[in-house]
Amino acid sequence: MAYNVMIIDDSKSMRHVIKKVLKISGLEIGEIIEAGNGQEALDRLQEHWVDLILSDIHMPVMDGLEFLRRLGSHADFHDVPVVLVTTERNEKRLAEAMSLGARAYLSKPFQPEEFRSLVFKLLGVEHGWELAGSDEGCDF
Amino acid sequence: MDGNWREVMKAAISEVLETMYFTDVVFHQKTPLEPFRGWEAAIEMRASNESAVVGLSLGFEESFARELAANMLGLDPDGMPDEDVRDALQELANMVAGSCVVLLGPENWRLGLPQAHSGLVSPPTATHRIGMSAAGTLVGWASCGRV
Repeated sequence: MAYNVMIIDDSKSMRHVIKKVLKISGLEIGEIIEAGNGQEALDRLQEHWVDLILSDIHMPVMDGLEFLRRLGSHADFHDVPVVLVTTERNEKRLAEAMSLGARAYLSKPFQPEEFRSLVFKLLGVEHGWELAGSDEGCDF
Repeated sequence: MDGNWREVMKAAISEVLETMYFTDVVFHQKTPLEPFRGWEAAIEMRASNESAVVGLSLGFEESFARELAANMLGLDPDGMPDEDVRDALQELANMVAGSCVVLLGPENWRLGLPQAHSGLVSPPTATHRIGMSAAGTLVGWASCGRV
């Protein structure tokens, strides 16, 4: 399965680095969708299927916390996993982000291996192979 | 806290440059005395209890700043748009400040939004200052102090 990933960061350089790390991670990547802030991300989510969101916290227009709030109350997107990739170290703000639905956070700067382990674990992917049964049990 | 700011800056800058910009610098106590043409990036670190606001600035000589941006973006430094250099240096200030906050200990800090601009970069005037060189040439400085 190829995963569509959305990268939300106001820094083009950081989006570039994350894209590069994703591509060398061994994860099968489908589409990479970029957004410069939370509002742009919400707009772009209307047009794309996304399996994973990697988001910064400190951004102009709409920051990562407000984005999480809006995402969490959205019927279609509330269950898309969000990983925060951030320089935020304020424990209260990180706790708030987790309470708003972020699944994990990764501190910048990061090593590619840290990034890979976290993303693979979150998506239930082991060494490029999806964990058995991850596609089973779908009830309609 | 005041006594270890220079050590904190050194550790934070080393970590960020090595991890994200694939670059090493050598630190010096001596900082440039004359202005040079290049880039300056700055960010504020604010203690959550409002007891302190610390400004962190980084100054880099033009070609080194472009080299940093090129390394991060995987592009040729020649002909790189100023906008890309600005973006890469803002992110550098952001990450260095983030690492400083971790190294500073138990207080909770909040980071401001980083800014960067090009032009004539004046020597640093903040309380805590360090110089940086690469390949034997002075390429920039870092400074921080209470705002």
